[in-house]
Amino acid sequence: MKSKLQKRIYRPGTQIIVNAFVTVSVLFSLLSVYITVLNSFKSQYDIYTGIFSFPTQMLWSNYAKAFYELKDYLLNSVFVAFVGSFVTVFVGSVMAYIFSRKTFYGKEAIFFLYIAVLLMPSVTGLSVLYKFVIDLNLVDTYFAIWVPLLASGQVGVVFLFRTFFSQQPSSVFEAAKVDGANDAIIYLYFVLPMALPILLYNFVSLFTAQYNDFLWPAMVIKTNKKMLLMTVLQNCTEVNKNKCEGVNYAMYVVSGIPLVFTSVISLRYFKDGDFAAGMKL
Amino acid sequence: MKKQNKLFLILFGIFVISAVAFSIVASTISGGNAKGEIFNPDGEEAVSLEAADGYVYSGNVSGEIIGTDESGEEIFKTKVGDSRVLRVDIFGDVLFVVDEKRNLSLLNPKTGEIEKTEELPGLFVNADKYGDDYYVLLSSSYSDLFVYKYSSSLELKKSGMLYAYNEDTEEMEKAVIEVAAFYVRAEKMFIIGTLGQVYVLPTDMSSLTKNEEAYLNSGAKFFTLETPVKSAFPFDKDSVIYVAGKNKNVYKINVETDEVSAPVKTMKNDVSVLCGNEKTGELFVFYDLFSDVTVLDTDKMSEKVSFTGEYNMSQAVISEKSGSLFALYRENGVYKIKKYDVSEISKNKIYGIVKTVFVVLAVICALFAAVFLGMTIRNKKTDSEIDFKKVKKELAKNKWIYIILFPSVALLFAFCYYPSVSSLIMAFFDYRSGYPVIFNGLDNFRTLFANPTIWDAVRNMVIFLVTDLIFGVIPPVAFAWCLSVMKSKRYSSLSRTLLFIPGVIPGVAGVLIWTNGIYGSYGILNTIIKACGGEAIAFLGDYRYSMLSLILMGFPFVGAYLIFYGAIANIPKAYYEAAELEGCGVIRRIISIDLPFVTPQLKYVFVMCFIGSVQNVSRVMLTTKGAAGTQIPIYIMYNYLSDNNFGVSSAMALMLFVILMIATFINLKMKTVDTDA
Repeated sequence: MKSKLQKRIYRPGTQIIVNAFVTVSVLFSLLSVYITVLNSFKSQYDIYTGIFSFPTQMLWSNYAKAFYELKDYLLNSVFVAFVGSFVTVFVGSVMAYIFSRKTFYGKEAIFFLYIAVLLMPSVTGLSVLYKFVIDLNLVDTYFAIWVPLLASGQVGVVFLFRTFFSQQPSSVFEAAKVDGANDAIIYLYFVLPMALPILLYNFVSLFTAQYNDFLWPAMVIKTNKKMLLMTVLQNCTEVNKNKCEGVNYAMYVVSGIPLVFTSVISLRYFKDGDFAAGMKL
Repeated sequence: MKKQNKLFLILFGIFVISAVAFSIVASTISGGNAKGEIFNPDGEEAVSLEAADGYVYSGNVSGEIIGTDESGEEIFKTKVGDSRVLRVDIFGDVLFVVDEKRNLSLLNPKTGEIEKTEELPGLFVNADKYGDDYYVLLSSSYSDLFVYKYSSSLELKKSGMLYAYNEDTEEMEKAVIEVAAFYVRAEKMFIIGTLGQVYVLPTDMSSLTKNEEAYLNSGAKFFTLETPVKSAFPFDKDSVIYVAGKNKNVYKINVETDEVSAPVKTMKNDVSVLCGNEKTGELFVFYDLFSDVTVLDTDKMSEKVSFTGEYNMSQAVISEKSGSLFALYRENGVYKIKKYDVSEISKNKIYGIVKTVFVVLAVICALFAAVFLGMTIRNKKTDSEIDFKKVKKELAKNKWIYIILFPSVALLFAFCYYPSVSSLIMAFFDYRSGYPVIFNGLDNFRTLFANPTIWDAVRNMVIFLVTDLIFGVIPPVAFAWCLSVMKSKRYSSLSRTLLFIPGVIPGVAGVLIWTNGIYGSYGILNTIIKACGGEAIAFLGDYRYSMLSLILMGFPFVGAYLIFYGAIANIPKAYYEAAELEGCGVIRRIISIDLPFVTPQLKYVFVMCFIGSVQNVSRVMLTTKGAAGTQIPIYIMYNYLSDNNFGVSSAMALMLFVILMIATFINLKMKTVDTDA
């Protein structure tokens, strides 16, 4: 039986407003995607006829060109983001396991050191970090990206993992210990399977953040062959202006391909938002 | 006060004082860097350089040769022409000068008097002297290469075009080559090209012929180094020419045997210039990307020392008399010369080590001070004393944990804490590369506020902050609420799925799409405007619309709705039923139940939006670069950073840090509704 309040909400008037708001928001959100895909098939002449016009012919060659231009950088970006996120999640989960399941002297103090980093904005240390990386001879290597990523990324991982772990019943772990399992076995066979959603979430977040990052890679990677996609994207599109802008739109689409995979994973696990509710202060 | 506490406090004090003392000592030790003195002779920009015998010669853009002594005192100034001086060389007791208008002048190196001039029949490429003859490489405008041999009185003796024998086609063809270095030694001309080509030709010039037989009989040799070449330097006493390859290797060509060695040394990065002091056997290596200079000992081919020079050093010469290094470099588009006292540099290595030791000591003392302070506080709070025996036992029992944690914490300190803390300190120092680091108080901040765009930047940051917060918090909450009260769950689910699609487009691409596809001259908005008969607006270029356009990027600002959606969905239905009984309307329900339950997420999103807005550099960097009145503080910081002015950029970082800390602090003070019912 629907309550009076519910009836009020489900009243057509309110529902119209609510649905309209949602529809309009969704449409506008999709609009930029639509024009990107639409224009990616256009020849330069078609572009001139207007942004909403339908292409006179579907120029799949735009995508071929985009792929050819971007493939090296795309692979670099995916490689760097993947390795960086993977290592960070792995290290972070080990640290988090230690913090949640073990007691040791100074545990709270050390944990505080981890959390305090979250409060410090990354912009502060940019200049010194840059000089530090130069002095360590890491410039122009991917380690200049991975090491800072590991250092700061592990904090987020530890934070989320610890919350998750502390909510798990300790009986399972204790039973395993009684049966003689050492920490490594517990970690591999109990922790990892249980924490798969969180692991994936952390991995996807780090991957997306690193894949999207363009400022730091622009500062530390100097050889063209090694550069990451986001830093060179704007340059790659400059060349095509007024010549074949359709290729530019194709490039935007191509640059999003790795994110399709991350979105699909997110969709499966996190669409319903009950996970996201855990993000609070 | 308890005895243990007293002890801890005393120890804390000792360590603090030691830390401060060590830091003071460390900062007063200057050295570890060769202090280069600026050595600009009077007059216009110097563009070529040579040094010998106690004299330093520089040529400038107006065609003047300035001879100075090694302290910069001008000895002579001679005008050789009206155009830019391309090359200044000392050959024996003659100063060899070529300018852009193809004038070759021979000057007396001590008085600067012009002894002979000659107009060269082609574009000057390179030159060397061997015996009594000058060998000059010229090219016509068709990128071929000629060798002209002149006598010491500049009479043309012989000339010829450079050909090479192509083994694949078995034909003679013109040698098209960009020359990186040219030296004449051991009766042979060594022409080294930028792609790694090495031509070894006899000085009788018999190989400068198109005749295949004559060429092959002349004894000419051709080989390639496996890498492009940037520069070379001869060491005559060892009969070698050192060649710097772009693959970071240094090669040795033996001028007697024409043999190229395997790489004798691999440097840390692309080498730009090589320069040597034959007397001391030192080879100076300059880099493309770094301002460091590495000094190699050519006997052992080992690194002797390295010091910080300048970026973009294009030429360097050494005065064998004094051992001083003169380097030509470019700063802000202007050429300057710096003199380095090389003998000081070996001393500097020791200074550098001593300084590092003191810094490390200071850091260790500071750490111990912090530990003892922590222990004192803990004792005060728990009103008990630390039982060291127990602590030791616990530490030993868990030693593996500490061992595993150590690298992680070390990384944390090195790459998170150290940069931030150090940056806050650096804000008060003059810290630019190539210059000594000195404390300069509030100067960096004065520089910042003297920047003409600073107040626009501050205003813009506030505008962006307010709008980003509004758009980042309100629309997502509204959207999430609507999603949760929609009657059709299927439609709600569909919408949420559809909204994953825009997430596929990366941030940078998104900004570019907005820039071109929406704000561009053929973009959506202008298409609509034109269809209504209006004129296209330059949304991002026109200062009237630029800020507004940047603010509205990202419409419809759905953003972090998922976080709120989850929170709203988790509100226990009991509250709704209670509200129902009280006779609540829709709006009342929103205000009294939904919003309070979402407060923790609101706080989280608020803080994230705040930090993100202040730190958002891509919005401006990829679109307007601060033009049309869109400058923001963090972009100013980035600009200073690109200029390697670490001091001023740290000052800006400090100001941004303070602003961000205020936000976080306010946030912590706000009360949260306890949602764990």
